[in-house]
Amino acid sequence: MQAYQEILPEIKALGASMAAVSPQKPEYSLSMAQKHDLGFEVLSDAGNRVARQYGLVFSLIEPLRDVYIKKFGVDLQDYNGDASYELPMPGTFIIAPEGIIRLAFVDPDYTLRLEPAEIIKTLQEMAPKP
Amino acid sequence: MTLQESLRNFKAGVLSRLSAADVEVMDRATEELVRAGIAARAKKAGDRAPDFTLPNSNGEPVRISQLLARGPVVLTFYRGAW
Repeated sequence: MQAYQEILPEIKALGASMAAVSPQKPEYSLSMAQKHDLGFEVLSDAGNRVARQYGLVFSLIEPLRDVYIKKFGVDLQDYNGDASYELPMPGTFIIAPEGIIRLAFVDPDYTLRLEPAEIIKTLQEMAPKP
Repeated sequence: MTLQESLRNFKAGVLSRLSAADVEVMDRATEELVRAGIAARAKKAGDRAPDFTLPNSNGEPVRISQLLARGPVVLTFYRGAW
């Protein structure tokens, strides 16, 4: 999130905006927005309803639920407000004003993300040419 | 340092605090997702982006088509702040 926050001025200068979506309850989104002083919308997707429409939802396998709780101290039931253990794959979409996805980056490996430089490059290509 | 490099460092830090068995569980989970081909089900370039309205951190509704009326939108999904 912070890496994307750093390029936010460039995103805005290119006439675009940014929104981040997660299944966690609004109170946790608020604390993150405050913690990182985020300048974009942080949206709460209860039950992964929107993530499902984007084809991103999976259920955390049982042995991993234990690892999250016991080793990371992450209680997904509390954060997400349900007992589904469902999460969205990390994914980033650049959407053109007419509603068509221009670039999609989705990978089940949670350590892979779209490079901020790639976002800027795509938005530059989309910007109206003088 | 690229985002990818910092995430790789972060992952190494997390894994160093886990037992070998836990690391195996995490790796297996990721492998299973890759093998199941779930990434192929996700929306792709050229698809229409589903419109939606969700509450922001202040509880105010935000509609994606309203953001699009002002220009392109970078929409990113993440698991949580934890």
